[in-house]
Formats: sequence, structure tokens, C-alpha cells
Amino acid sequence: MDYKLKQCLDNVRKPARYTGGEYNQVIKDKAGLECRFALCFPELYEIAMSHLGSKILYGRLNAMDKVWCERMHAPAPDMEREMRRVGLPLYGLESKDPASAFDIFGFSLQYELNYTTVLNMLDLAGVPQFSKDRHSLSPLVIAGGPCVYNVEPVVDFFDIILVGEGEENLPALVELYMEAKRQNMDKQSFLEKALEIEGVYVPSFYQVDYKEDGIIAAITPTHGAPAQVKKAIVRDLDKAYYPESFIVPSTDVVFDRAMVELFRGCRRGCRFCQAGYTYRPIRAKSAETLASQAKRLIETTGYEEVSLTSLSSSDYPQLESLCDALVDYCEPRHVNLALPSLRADNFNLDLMENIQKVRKSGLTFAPEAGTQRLRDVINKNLYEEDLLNACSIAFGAGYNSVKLYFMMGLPTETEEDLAGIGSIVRHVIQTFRQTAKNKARGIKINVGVSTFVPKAQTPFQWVGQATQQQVKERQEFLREQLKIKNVSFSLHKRESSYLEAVFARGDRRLSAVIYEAWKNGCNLDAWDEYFSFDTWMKAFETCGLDPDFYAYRSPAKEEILPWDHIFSGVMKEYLWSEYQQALQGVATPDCAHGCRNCGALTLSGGRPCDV
Amino acid sequence: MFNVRIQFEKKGGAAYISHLDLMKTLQRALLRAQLPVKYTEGFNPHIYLSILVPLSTGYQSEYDLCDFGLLLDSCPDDLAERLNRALPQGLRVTRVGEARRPVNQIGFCGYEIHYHSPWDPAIPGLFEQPVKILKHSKRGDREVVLNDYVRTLEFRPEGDSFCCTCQLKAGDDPLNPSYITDVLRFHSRVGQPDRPLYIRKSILDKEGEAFF
Repeated sequence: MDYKLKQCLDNVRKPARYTGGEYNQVIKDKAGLECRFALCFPELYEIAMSHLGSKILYGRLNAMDKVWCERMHAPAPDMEREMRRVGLPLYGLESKDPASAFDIFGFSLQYELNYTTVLNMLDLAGVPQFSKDRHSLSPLVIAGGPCVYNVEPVVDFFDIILVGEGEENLPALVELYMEAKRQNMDKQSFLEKALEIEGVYVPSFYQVDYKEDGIIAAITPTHGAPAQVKKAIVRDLDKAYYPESFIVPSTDVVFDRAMVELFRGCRRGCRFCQAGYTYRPIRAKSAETLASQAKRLIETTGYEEVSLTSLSSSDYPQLESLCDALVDYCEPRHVNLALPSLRADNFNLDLMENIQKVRKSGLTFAPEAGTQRLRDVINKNLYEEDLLNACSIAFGAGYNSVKLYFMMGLPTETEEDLAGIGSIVRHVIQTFRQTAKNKARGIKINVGVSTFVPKAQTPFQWVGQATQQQVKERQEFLREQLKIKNVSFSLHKRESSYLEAVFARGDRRLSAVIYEAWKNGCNLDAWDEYFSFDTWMKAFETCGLDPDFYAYRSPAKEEILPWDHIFSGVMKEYLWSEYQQALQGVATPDCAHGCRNCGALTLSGGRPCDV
Repeated sequence: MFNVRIQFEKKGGAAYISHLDLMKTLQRALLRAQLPVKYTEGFNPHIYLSILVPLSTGYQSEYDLCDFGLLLDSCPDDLAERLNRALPQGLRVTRVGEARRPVNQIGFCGYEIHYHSPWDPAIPGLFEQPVKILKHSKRGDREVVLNDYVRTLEFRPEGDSFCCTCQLKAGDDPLNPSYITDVLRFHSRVGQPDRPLYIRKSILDKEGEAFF
């Protein structure tokens, strides 16, 4: 082992996060390679290694002969200190080669509070952070992930953003990159050529002009870029590439299990949920495909848990037959089935028995709001009876704990809605008293209340976030409401939700703020212990930008929004009509009851959603 | 039921897998190798597996031992091969046999310690007189004489630096080889903060013979 690396590893916590060498990692012969790809995840190893999308892209890119894709993650502060002390640059976990050996750095943008970590990783890699300061074809810095639906706050750092699903367009881009290298193409020509690939967004090809009040006057495409970049999708998910094996970490990570993806999209249309809109249209895999992918993964990884993932998994039409097929395989092998995203209104006894055959895991429901009125506003389409019914099934079968998730600061929220959260919790306790198999053990309820963050490309993109003062008062009110025996209560940090809101609907002037904040020490902002709100506020001040402008403003209907040139498939008019319905407290039925014509079928060539 | 004992190496990055993580890693390798392994009974069954003399995280090992149960009458001939195909980089099974001798017959472990600081001919002399150290254990710290824990101890120059070969007590009241380094540090023979390279070479019984 390299002496410098050893000196680092001997002085840090959880060193196994930095060694690579895990089972199923891909090692390639460097001779004959034409592209070294760094799959960068701007978070710590334990988060990065839990991410399904990265596993898919890692496998997909390494299936290409001339490409070697390796992982790069953010080091924890102790490791970063050691690396800087001994002069060790960021390295690929597989080869341990320094970042300078790589051609493309592809970042996964999952969360707005990871942005400074992108800059920190580029710095540790010795790569200039601003796209304008990188003149040659290599290194190329690109990004994808859910944050691309409004990626403007970080566009100055990236050469290309891939909008949508990467299974097909990322390999196409890498193919084109290798061709460009062979032809000695310059960076500009390559970027122009890349526009031919679906979902390619080259931020530097758009000129953004602002009015005096800071609102956007125009977004003008140049260099032949399209007026709107259309999201790329996998049309046939059942036949899409899926890895046969996952890297099995040799140390604890957050989600350490096999995963299969039931479907993409969600028929529910909850108005606060960005994923619910941006993953449309709904495409499902067949139960046979899923069962065989799950079995294959269990064999190649040795995992003792397989998770059936998707948004709202209990909506998967063939869930029963899939569970039956998997339980027969999993039970004798001591493999547990996990369904992390369940809705209370289609939860039943059979389903529950299936998921607790091997090991009983926790049960979580998300009513999101405390009253039916507010649940109609957000289009949650869940009734309190459904929740209590689901709880009584679970308690009757021996469960004595449940997690309940809510949001606060939702549009039109009143004190009554917040009091409603307390009342739901009390009704769940009553239900336990009436239906529990073993009342003597007592009930344990965990209530998590997060702060609503309005997101781009949702009906609530026109809503300002509740002010920090309002959030503070409502959190205190809730704390009083939830002083109930056997109930534990957790809240999101106010300042983090505020900053998340700033970036979720921010424009590209914010790149300067992110750079300034990083320069003054901000990094790993998603971790409360590293988050420094004051440093952030100073950065806004230095750059002369007002964060309230981004977080609190409710833009007018005709305004150009910073992300209007990114097309998720759902039309702006549809989002606006949903917003109007919300303000009137009118729910929209879920897509299983007929197509709502949101526009997403334009992406699938008219092929209807799998509902 | 067949009680298997495997001897394995833990080298390179794999040396940084902690004891608990190593258990999980080996258990998963057994599953990937599709071996009929014995599970514990009880509410939450898991694979029965025991690492005989766990090492500190970061120590390289050319000699580690691990026991587990197979629901078979004898040991499959290709066990080492199958396991090696299922193990991550740096872990490798070198020998397979039956777990006969109980763990309490273990007496010593052999180590090599490679230092990065310059050789000084006065170093061996530091250990000729009884050396008092403050030894940490779960039951608290106590003062002991280091020499009582040492079966053999040799230093020799190696390139610009030097190397220590030793056999130290293992079992009930073991001595971590880091105490040797502490003594050298105390006498300012070894620079900070770089840690030397520790390699375990053997696990011995109370007579100093091979335990397995």
C-alpha cells in the first residue's frame, strides 16, 4: 500500500471507508482504456454506497470495454485533514490512482446541501472548480441526479448536466467523449456535438438576463442549444440495464442490502413531491424480471436483506405475486424482505406477513398533514381512517411501534392543521389500546416533522417558504402538542431547510455564493455538526444577494422561472392548474383513475403509464 | 456438523476492516460461496462464526484464524478455493482444517513491526532491563513489566530503518505489539505521528508451537 495513504488511514476514524477493495468492485487492465471515469458522490462513503442510481451507472459504464469507472466520495473532515497534510489528492477507490489520471468527473446531485462538497472534492482532486477555467477536453466535469430539475445554482461549475435518467444517455456521452479524444476535438466543439444526445444541458450555452428587481428577463439559448432541454427516460424499464451484482461494502453503510426497483414514477400526484412529478411517466418492471434480479443479487452479494424500492411501493400492481415468489426463495435462506415506502391506504395483512417473515422491521407511514383539509391541499389522498386501519392491522399482528412522518409550513397551513398532528397521534395510541395483541408491552411512536421546502417542477414552485420566524413559532407549538407519553418527536433544523429552499428555487447567480461559502469553510452542510449557517449568511452578504428573495417569494404566473428551460415532461400549465386546485382545497384523483394529461406521455411516445 | 477452522491473510486495505465488520464480511463470503453454514438458534438467527484472536484495526495479518460450522460430515475439498472466490481484495484463505484445539490453548502471537525511523544500535538495550508499562484493558489500567509478556524479541536494521520480530503473550491477558513502539517512542527513537507497519506472522500455543 502507498505510504502516504497508510499514514492517512492510521490516523482516521472508520478507515475502511477509504480503502476500496470491496467484493464486486471492478478492476480493469489500464492498457487499452480510452476513458477513466470518476463516479463522484459528494457525501461520505456510508451515504454514497447506499445510493442505487450510482450502482446502476457503475455497472453500466464498466460494461463498456474501453471505460473504467471508479468511485470517488467525500472524505470526512479527519481524512481530509490527513490527505492535505501528507499531500494525497483525491483518488479512485479501485485503482488508488490520483484524480489527475481521470478524464471525466461525473457528480450525482441528490441534495442541495451537498453543493459545497462538490467544490471541496474538485479542490482535493486538483481540478479547477469553474467550468470557464477548464479549457481542454480533459478533465470534463458533469452532473446528473434529482437536483438537475433546478440545477442553476451550481451551473458555473459544470460543463454538462445530464437531465433525466442516465442509463442510456451517459454511456452515449462517454462514447462521444472517446470519439472526441481520438479526433483531438476542442472542448467547445465537443460540447456543441453533445447537444445531439437526449437530456444534455450545456449551461454555458444559455444567456440569462435579469430585470432590476432580480427577476429573470430572458433565458436565451446560444450555440444551437434547444430552447428547452427535454429529460431523457428509459422507455422500457423491464428491459433496461440492471446490475447483476452490487459492490458489498466491508464496513457499515446506511442501506446495506440488495435492492430492486419496482417502477419509476408515482401515480399519486402529491403536490409537494418533486420526485412524483419528475419521474413521470410511470413505468413498471414485470414481477418475473424483478424476482430474477433479486435472486441474482442475493447470490452475488451474500446480502441477507432485499429491498423492494420505488415511490409508494404498495402501488406496484403485481406486488402480491412478487412477494409470494420472493418469500419462497428468501425464507429458507434467512433473507429478509423490506418494503421501505408503504402507503397506509393499501396496506394489508398479507403484505405485512410477507415483510416480517424473516426479521421484523420497523413500520413507517407518512400522513404528511394533520387535517383532511390540508391533506387535500397537498393532494395526499389519504384519510385518517386508512391510517388507523393500517395501524390496527399492524398492532393486531404484534407490532408495538410505528413511525409517522409529517410536514409543517405547508401552503395554507393554520394552527388547526398543526393541532391535527397531535390528534392523529393520540388516535393512533387509542387504536393501539383497542387492537394491540400485547398491550402490556406499551406503544412507542416516533413522530418526525420536517419543514416544507417548495421545489422546482412541482405545483408548489410558485409558493414562498414559511419564514424562519413562522417556522420557529410553529415548531414550538408542535412541541407542546406532542408532549404525549410514549411519543418521541424530531424536527428538522430550521436553517438547513431555509438554505435548501434558497437553492431549490435559486438562479445561477448563486454559484458565486456557494463558492464563497466553500472558501470560508462550508462543506458537508447536510451534517448538523459541520453546518455553519453564519458562514452562509456572510457569503450571501459578500456576494450582494438576498437569500430571502429565493426562499420566501411567491413568483407570479407569467414570470420566467430559473428552470423554465429544463423540461421534466410535466407541462408548466398543468403544474399551475394543480396549484390553483390546491389553493381551493380540491384533490386530484390518482392516475389509476384516468390520465390527467400532465404532458409526461410526450416522453414515452404516447405509451400510457403502467398503473 | 463439521467444525471448520480456516487460516487466512488480511493484507493491504483489508487490514482496515474492523473486527465486527470482518465478521460480517466473512459471513457474507460464506453465503456467496453457497456453503451450508450453521446458524445460531434463537429469535434472530445469524451465521455462527468466531475469529480466534482479533487484531487491532490497521494491523496486517499473514496469520488469522476463524471457526464456523458446516452442516456436512466432512470438509469439502474445494472449500478454500470457493471461499477465495467469494472474498474481497486482501482476504485470502491459506489453510483449512477441523477446529479441534480449544481457543484457551493459545499462548502467544508472532509479529513483525517495520519502523520508518532511523536505526539506532542502542535500541535492543532498552529492553534488557525490566520495562514498566501502564497496560490498558477492559478492567482498567495497571502497571506491569513488559518483559513478562515477551517470549522472543529481536531488532535488526532494515534499509534506512529497522524491524522488530517478536512473540508476545496472547489469550487471557494479551500484549498488543504497540507497547513495544510506545517504549521506543518514550525513548525518542521513533518519530511521530507515523505509525509503523504491524504484521502478525503466527498464532502459537503456550509452548510456543503452532496452535493450528
